[in-house]
This record gives sequence, structure tokens and C-alpha cells, in this order.
Amino acid sequence: MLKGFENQILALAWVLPSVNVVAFLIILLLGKRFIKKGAELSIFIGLGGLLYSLISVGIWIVHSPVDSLHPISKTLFSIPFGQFHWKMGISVDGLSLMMLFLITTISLLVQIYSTGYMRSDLNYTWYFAILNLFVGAMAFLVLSNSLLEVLICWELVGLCSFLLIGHWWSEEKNVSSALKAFLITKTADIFFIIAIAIAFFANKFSFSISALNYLSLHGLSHTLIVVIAISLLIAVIGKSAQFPLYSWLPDAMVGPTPVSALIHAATMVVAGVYLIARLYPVFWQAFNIHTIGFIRLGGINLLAIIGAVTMLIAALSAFVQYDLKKVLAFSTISQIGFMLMALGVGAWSGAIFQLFTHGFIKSLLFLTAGAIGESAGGFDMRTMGGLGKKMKFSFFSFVIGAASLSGVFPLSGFWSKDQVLAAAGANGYNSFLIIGLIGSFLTAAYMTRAIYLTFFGSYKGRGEPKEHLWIMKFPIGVLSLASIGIGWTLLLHPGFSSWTFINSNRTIISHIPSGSLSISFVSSFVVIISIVLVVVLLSTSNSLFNSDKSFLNVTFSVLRSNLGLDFILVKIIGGLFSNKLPQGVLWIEDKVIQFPGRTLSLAASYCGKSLQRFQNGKIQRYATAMIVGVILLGIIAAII
Amino acid sequence: MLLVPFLILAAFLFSTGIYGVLTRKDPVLLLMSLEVMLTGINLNFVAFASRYKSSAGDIFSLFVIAVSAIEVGVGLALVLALRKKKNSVQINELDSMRG
Repeated sequence: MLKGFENQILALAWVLPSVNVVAFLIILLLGKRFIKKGAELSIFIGLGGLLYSLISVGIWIVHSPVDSLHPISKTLFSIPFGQFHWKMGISVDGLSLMMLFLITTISLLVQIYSTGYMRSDLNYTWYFAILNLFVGAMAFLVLSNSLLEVLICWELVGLCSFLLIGHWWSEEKNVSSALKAFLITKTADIFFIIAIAIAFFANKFSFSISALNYLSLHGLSHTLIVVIAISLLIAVIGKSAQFPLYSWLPDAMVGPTPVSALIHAATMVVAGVYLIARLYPVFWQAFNIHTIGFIRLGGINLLAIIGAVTMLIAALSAFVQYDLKKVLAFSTISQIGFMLMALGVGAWSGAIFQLFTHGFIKSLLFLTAGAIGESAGGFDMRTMGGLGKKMKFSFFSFVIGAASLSGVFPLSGFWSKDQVLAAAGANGYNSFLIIGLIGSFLTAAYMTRAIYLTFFGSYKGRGEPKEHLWIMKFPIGVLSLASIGIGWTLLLHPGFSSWTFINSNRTIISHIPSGSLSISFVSSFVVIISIVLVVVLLSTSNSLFNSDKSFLNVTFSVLRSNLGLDFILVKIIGGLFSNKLPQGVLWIEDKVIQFPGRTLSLAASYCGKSLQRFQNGKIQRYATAMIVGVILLGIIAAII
Repeated sequence: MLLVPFLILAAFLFSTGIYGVLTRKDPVLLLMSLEVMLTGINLNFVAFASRYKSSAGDIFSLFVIAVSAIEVGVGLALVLALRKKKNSVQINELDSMRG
């Protein structure tokens, strides 16, 4: 246990998101009066957040691993709801701190970059305000110790990404993309609420995450766990853009590029992976991760299957895109799929490490892509080409990012991918190990293609591309260094896996494999083969990717249309919900719900009409009726 | 002391009053019928009071007489107001409040 001062510092983590939310309000209300339109306040607070997270990470690492296994909890409010209390609070452990570090670093770099990238934007102040809310919501999400807090932050994160994706709302396409992202994630979130409701009752009227984790390993019925885990998984599929609900993420590319960097690296889509990692015992029990194979008694390993399917489909889709940002979007989907698959095969530490390195790599790639797009006047790779000579800085940073993402030795991506594959092999999931290698092959292939189309050949666009502002180069430089070096934290002693290990996993993950030489060798070999193959293919036969009738072209167009998932989601399901369902509801409302009310009111008005005749205004009739009534009452009283 | 003849007379007066209230069309006659009803009631009060040697009935009948005097005053004022407004004081024509 941590004691005294250090404990106090870590328990103060809740201040960080609160400051962000306050900054959101200040920038929103007063930002336009500041000299730099609110950006300076935002970056100042970002620096403070980074400083705090560095200090806390430092404290954690110094005391790791012996002292730090127990999370530091602090109850902020205890809100009574009838018979039980909702203990709203925070819980700080290695996983939270890792996420906090990732969020604060990347959001700060993205904000610095945005001061350059968004310099002529009309809603500059609004943009920074929403960024602050976004970061605050995500930071509180990773600190929450109850499911209800997670849900609130989860929705806030979704709202902020909706606002930021639709930042340039004057174009209808942007608004509908933002709406698509919002509606798809919201639909999936319904299942999150269902899962929370079930977990609340299963968990003896408590929202506590640690209690749920404990209970799912000790005595909660397997059926209940499976229901909770599948509902949570559907929510994650929506949030993290997994098969079959991934089509919102490529469409979300219409937003500003720094926002994409933030969404893909540190906030929106990784929230799903974080949720699974946080509630890992639930998934562990539900999908029988400890028993190897696709199908075993009582459960299918849906987590690994969804992850693997998404990884392969998205990697193939990334290969056929012409929009540079869409390549990166599909790459994120694919990588998140890889993380889910890693979680599904029991490679918890590997998945977390992959999340960590991927955050830096993907934000590097996005920020570089944004700079390239700004110079080249668009993101279509067909109008690029030959930028390698004109934009040397972007070229090198993009190549570093791409190589790191593909898992080239000894960059960051290599170590994380290697750890996942090694754990998959060690846990006996050989089929998923091979799928992971295929995914690694495809990753290298689409990144090589993107680099080839963007930087090599001859320049096909108009205008003269030039290097960007230094304020945009700085974050890219920092992220390049991180993409090269951050992976080495795995090799330190006790190392990344030990720092981020969380208490609830202690009974289920007995040992973390530290990588295996043969798997590293094979995966490096696969990556090199893939790069060489793609370069050879692209440089020898341009027609291969451009011919009209070839089999490949049909495949490509199927992939470009998101396998028809867009059609199913938007036209069929969306149409069903926007036309047929309201009609049905209206019919039920009219015929079933309103029927008794309407009948009653008709009966009442009929009675009223027939009684009206007695109200004839003749006083003496009234008097007669009264007297007759009194006499009748008297008779009745006498009889009784 | 005999009680029954007084009660019979009171009931007769009351019934006559009711008959008048229900049948007369002239409001003045209607008010007079009301007075006849009240007289019947007063007779009952006084008869019971003297039979049971209690002064409560006598005092109550005094109250009734006072109230009926006031009532007649108000009633006649209403009749005059009606007369001014409608030029006719037939009770069965006053049905503007019918439903």
C-alpha cells in the first residue's frame, strides 16, 4: 500500500477531469475575450494535466510492483437511492494511470497541433472548449470506480465526438456523418444500460466495478455473466467501431484531423477496449477464455472472434481506400480488433500495451496526415504522390509511424504486437496466433501502399506543397520519438506489464509471457515479405489496381462499400426505424392505448347529453324533483 | 295537552305551502306560499315546546319569523328587479339558465 503524501497525490486524480470540465465552461463563456481565443488556457491546463499524470505515474512506478497492487480508492459522493447508496468515486491503479498518461499526453499534443491546424477556423474557441470536455470525460471514465460513472462519461465522450466530427457543420455530409456516429454508438449503448441494470441486481444492488469483478469469479451464475458480457460487448462493438457496426468511423473522417487523432488514439474508440480490460474477469468467465478454442462448454469466445473478423475485414478495406484518412480509419478499426482479439485470447497485458503504443503511433500518423492533407489540398492519395522529396519531415514521421504500426523491429509497435502474439501462443490459441500474423501481414501491406501512393512516384496534385508550421511539427516530432521508443518500456524491470497489472486480474492471469524469439522472428519475416511484395506489385503493375473488370476490382468495390453493411444499417435498419417502426408505434398508440380513453370519453359525453334534458331552467320542476327525492329518501330511511 | 291536532294542522299548512310553491306562477304568490310553509314549521316548534316544557322551540320559532321576514324582503326586492328588467314576473318564463 502507498502511504501518506503519495497516496494523497494519487487520490487527487479526480481534480484533473474536474479542471477540464471547468475549463470547458470558462472557454465556452469567456474564451473569445482571451488573447489567443481560449487556446492558451486549454494548453496551460493540458500541461498541468500532463505534469500531474507524470508525477502519479512516477509514484506508481517507483512503488511497483510490490506496493502498488491495490488500487487507491476515494469516494467522492455517497448518493442515497432508497435502500442503497451509490458510492461515486475514483479508483486509481496501473491501468487508470496508463490511460491517464496516454490521454493527457496525446490531448496536449493534439491541442498544440490544433493551434496551427485550426488557426483560421471560425469556431476556434468552441473547438477548444469541446476538446476540454472530451478529455475531462475520458479521464473521468478511466478513473471511475462504478459502472454508472462509466456510463455517464461514456455518453459524454460520445456526445463530444459527435460535436467534433460535425465541427464543420455547414456541409450536410459532415452533419450526417456525425449523426451516423452518434446514432450507431447510441444504439449500441442501449446494451450497456441493459448490462449495467443486470449487473446492478446481480451485484447485490451495487454499481461497483471491483465488486462485479470479484463476484464474476466467485459465484455469479454463468448465464448471468454471459448475458452481461454479451451486452457489454455489443456496447463496445458500437463504441470501438467493430464488426458489424464499424462503418461510422471511416465516415467520421470528415471531422478535423486532430480530432481524428484524439478519437482514434486516446479517447472515443479506446474506451471500449478499456471497458473490457477493466471488467476483464467478467469476460474471462463469460467466454471461457481459459479454455482454449472457438467453442467450449457453455460459451463461444465471441470476443476473440469479433476482434479477429474485424481486424481482417478492416485491414482488407484499408488496402483499397484512396483517401489517406480513411486508410488510417480502417487501420484503427483493424488495430482495435487486434486488441479485442488479444483480450479474447487472454493476452491482457499485450492488449493494454498495444493500446498504449497504438495511441502514440496512430496520433502520429493522423497528425502527419493532417499536415500532408493541408499542404496537398486534400486527402485523396490519387492527387498526391512524390511528396517524399517535398515534405521530408512529414515523410520521415509518417514512415516511422507506419513502420511502428506494422511492427518493424525495434519500434514500439513491434514489442506490443509481439507480446500479444506470444501470449496467444503461450495460452494455446494457435488459430488466433496465425490470424494475428495474417493481420500483421495486411497491416504492413496497407501502410506500405499508403506510403507508396503518397510519397513516391510523381506529384499529381495542383499547387506547390510546402512544409507546415513549426507548431505542428513539434507534436509530430514528440510522437515520432514516442513511436520509436515507448515500446522499450516493456523491457525494463519490472516493466510495463507489471506497472499496469491490476488487482482484479491477479487470480486469472498467472504469468505474462515476455515474448518468444520464434514468434518475433516469424512476425518480422511476415512484415518484411509483405512490404517487399506490395512494393513490387505497385511498381510493376499499376493496372492491377485500376483495371475495370478484374476479379480484384469486384472485390475492391465490395470492400469499398463496407461489405454492404452501410446499406443494411442505413437503408434497411435505419429505414425500418425511421419509417416502419414509428408507423407501427402510432398504430398501437391509436388502436390500443388510446382506445379505452376514447371510449370512456364518448360514454361520458353521451351520459352528459342525456342528463342535459333535466337541466331545463324551470325552478318549480327542480323543486318538485327535490321534494320527491326527499320523500323517497324518507321512505327508504323508514324501511331500513 | 293534545299534540296531534297541532301537528295535523302544521302538516296541512306545510303541504299547502308546498303545493303553492310548486304550482303558482306568480312570484308573489310563491313567496306567500313559502310563508305558509314556514308557519307550519313554526307551529310544530311551538307545539313541541309547550308539550315538553322547553323554551328552545319558542326561541327557535322567533328566529324563523325573523329570518322569514328578511327573506320576504329580499324576495320582494328580487320580484321588483325582475319586473323592471323583464316586464313580466311569470316564474316559468325565467329559464335562461337551462342547460
